[in-house]
Amino acid sequence: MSAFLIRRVLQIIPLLIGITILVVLLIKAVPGSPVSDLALVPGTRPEDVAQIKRQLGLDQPLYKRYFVWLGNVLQGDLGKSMINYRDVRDEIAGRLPNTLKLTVAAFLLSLVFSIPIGIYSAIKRNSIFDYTATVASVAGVSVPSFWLALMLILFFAVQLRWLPSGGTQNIGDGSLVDQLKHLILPAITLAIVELAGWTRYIRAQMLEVIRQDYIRTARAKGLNERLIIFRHAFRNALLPLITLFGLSIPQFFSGALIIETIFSWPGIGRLTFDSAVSRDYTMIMGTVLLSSTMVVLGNLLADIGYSLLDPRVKQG
Amino acid sequence: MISRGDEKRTAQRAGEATTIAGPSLAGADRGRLTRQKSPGYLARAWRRFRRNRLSVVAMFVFIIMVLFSYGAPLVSRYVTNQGFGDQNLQATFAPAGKTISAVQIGGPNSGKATTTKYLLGADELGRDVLTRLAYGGRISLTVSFLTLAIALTIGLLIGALAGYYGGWVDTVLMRLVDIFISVPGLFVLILVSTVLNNNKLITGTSFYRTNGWLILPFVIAVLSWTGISRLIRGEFLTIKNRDYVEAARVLGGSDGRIIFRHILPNVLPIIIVWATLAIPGLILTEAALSYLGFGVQIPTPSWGNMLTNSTQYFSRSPSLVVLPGAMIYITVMAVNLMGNGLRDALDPRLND
Repeated sequence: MSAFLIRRVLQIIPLLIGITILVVLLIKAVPGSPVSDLALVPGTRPEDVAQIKRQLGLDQPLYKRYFVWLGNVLQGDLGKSMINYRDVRDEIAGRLPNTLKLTVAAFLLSLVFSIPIGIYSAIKRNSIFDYTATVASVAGVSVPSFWLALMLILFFAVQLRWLPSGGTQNIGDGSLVDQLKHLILPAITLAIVELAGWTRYIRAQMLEVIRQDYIRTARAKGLNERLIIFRHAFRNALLPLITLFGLSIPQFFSGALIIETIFSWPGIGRLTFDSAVSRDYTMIMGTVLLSSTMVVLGNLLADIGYSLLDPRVKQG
Repeated sequence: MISRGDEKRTAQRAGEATTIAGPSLAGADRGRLTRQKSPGYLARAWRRFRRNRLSVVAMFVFIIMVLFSYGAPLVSRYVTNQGFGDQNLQATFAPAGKTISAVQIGGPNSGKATTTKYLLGADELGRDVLTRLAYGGRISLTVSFLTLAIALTIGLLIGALAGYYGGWVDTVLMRLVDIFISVPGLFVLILVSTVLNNNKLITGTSFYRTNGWLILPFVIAVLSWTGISRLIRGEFLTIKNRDYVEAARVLGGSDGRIIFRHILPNVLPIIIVWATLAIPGLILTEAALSYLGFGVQIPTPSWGNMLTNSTQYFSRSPSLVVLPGAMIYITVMAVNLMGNGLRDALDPRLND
């Protein structure tokens, strides 16, 4: 087990390095730099621009900058923003709680709804409930999230005026109720697509498990149905779900980028979007490193969880 | 003579048999067997597909959407009499069904007084929404189809190479796939889009000025090939050890011949199903990118960028927000339902 763990963890390192190299090359390919806009300001002297370039280290060749950046990252220093000179680590740390709040809320919502619906449609296969749930989940998977967000804002914020249309809290009001009110619409939007996908997956897993011999044995023993479903079937159906949850993490992050932009939610997604627009190299590298680390760790945890819980899985 | 009802039931039974017994199903339909040859793979697949009513309906909805989109010039010419760029400031925010007489600016009737009926209303510049929806659909669908073609080409090549040769080729290629899967997708798409749309070699051409949106398929394809390459690799890993592949090798077949003539045809159903189920994601990605301003650029309409502008006029004219999104939604849902039916029909193994 520990050998498997160590190997799995060691695999992460080249992966993360590969990701950062890919992003560095991409950034390099984008024409212009954070200072190119500065040069357009009337009255800016070329030597000033050169001076700022030197300060930011932009006069160095790419590979040198990359290694300097990598060295600093290993010491916990993500550098300073090239636009507003704020510390990238502080900026990310300041925004991470907002993104976590959003994604965790969406994750919980997906979990709470998808599991009962998935199980129930599997038990009552081909019933009206199952049919409705299947169609609803296709509808959920198909919905363009940014459009859904706009529709929810249009309906609940503009028409009914029940909920706020964006932000994390009203200015001067930071109460829990206020914060929750702001959380509802973005969390629902983010949850719906995942929720729909999970429901279908859980239904399929349950159907697969119910067909197994040990369920027939349990039935033959005369166990009551509730016990069979929860003690025997669901536990086994849960295993592949762990992988699914791990794989959903990148989707939550990509989804958060759009949702945070629409709901003006000051999180990592919005920060990433803004820094991509303003070509803030260090900030881009910081956010990419963070989100891809989350993704890779999510997959790792899913793998570990899977092999811990299911002795049938070969380790390695 | 078999009555209609009987026929349907037999077909149903035959369909059920396939999922379990495989190719021997035709035997279940004895009456038919005496009259004609056992139906081929496609005929059987079609029969299974037809059983799923919802998928059939979805297929027709999708066909209607495709006809509407690619018939955009016809819609423009015969139904709305408006081009997608024709503006009429007297018609701004015209509600659906309103008729407005005004002097036309732009288009073939520029400078003349015209009377136009805005069947689905007009946007903030007085452009006809129906016309723009049709042209927007044409662009959105074309972008998705082209992306699919590019992604399939890359994914097939990489998956086939990795699966067929194995060893270090496999390791290197699959680590590459891992990298592409782990980067935050939309974010990389934004960067790639900026790179390609600011490249002097591309933007300097006159072709770019009129057809700049054709860059977009290449942008989206950068991240869309990973799924199919993994799938193909897996299939190649199992198929390459089958006897018929071994036989082809013994007969002196080259690697290329074995890959393309012997293995690939056997993977085809999986590719078709994957391609169908990939289209919704591609439509959504195009729409999201265009909505954020990194995709199709105005004045060229796409379902995504029609939404960008309309959000500013949210309370004034909600239909400008509802309509393009509804088009995306209906199309994506139709393809999804159709794809599910296809998956069940072509390859029961791929079931969820």
